[in-house]
Amino acid sequence: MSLTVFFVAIISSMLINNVILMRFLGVCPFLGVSKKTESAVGMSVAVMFVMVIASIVTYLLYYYVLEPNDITYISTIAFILVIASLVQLVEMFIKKVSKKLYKSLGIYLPLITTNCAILGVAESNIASGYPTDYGVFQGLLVASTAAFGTALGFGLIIFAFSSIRERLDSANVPEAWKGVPISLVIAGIMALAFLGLGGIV
Amino acid sequence: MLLTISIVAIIVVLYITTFAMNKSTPIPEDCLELIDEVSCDACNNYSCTIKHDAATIKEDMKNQLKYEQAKEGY
Repeated sequence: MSLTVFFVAIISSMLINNVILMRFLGVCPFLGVSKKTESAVGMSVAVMFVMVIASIVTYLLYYYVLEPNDITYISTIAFILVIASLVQLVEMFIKKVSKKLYKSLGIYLPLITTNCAILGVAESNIASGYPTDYGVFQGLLVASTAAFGTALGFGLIIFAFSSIRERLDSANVPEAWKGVPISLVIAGIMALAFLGLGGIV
Repeated sequence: MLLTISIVAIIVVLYITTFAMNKSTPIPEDCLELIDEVSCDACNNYSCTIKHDAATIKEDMKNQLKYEQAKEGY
């Protein structure tokens, strides 16, 4: 398996199939935690952390527990619970181990529990059928790389959006367009721009 | 069927356990204020008076600081 596979997985999940603008997942934190650049960066790093770990855990759960026992129909509920447990574990670990890390990441973790982008990535890793193409172990590497790329894409968009929103605070926006309306218009324009990247890979 | 129920039950118990463990772990003292601030930032209730007050207080503090710095000749 060449490095091209990983490169394609990152570019594809980060830009071409961007989780927010192309798949419309994780829109809640996209709108909610993008008022300040500082919050957006913290949220992005926390999402990246949880997304990669959750992808690995859900992938292993699916291919080593659910599929051999022919109970794949409970995958969604199992993934939701696993992700929620993982967030609790990660938060507890950070609380105990590093006060500094908790200060920068931990405060965003409770908000991630309900982030559908995490579940979306876990489900899309399974739907992609990596084990058929690469085998279970190498498929795991590709799946975690794709999750990392997706998290990078999430971070890129939320950071760009927060920068625009910060500039909008000092812009002369008509009263009726202030706040959410202008933010949604900007999100739409960004989605159109990303649509232009379709078909590259 | 029994296996399915058992697996779901195991994961539910796992979640409850991790939730209880996380709740019982104390939050570092320095971070208590930050949590409120982030929850406040993430909230989309535009009619919230607390948020408005917090923003006003912050602005007042900034102005006060600027005034003091100007007074001291910085």
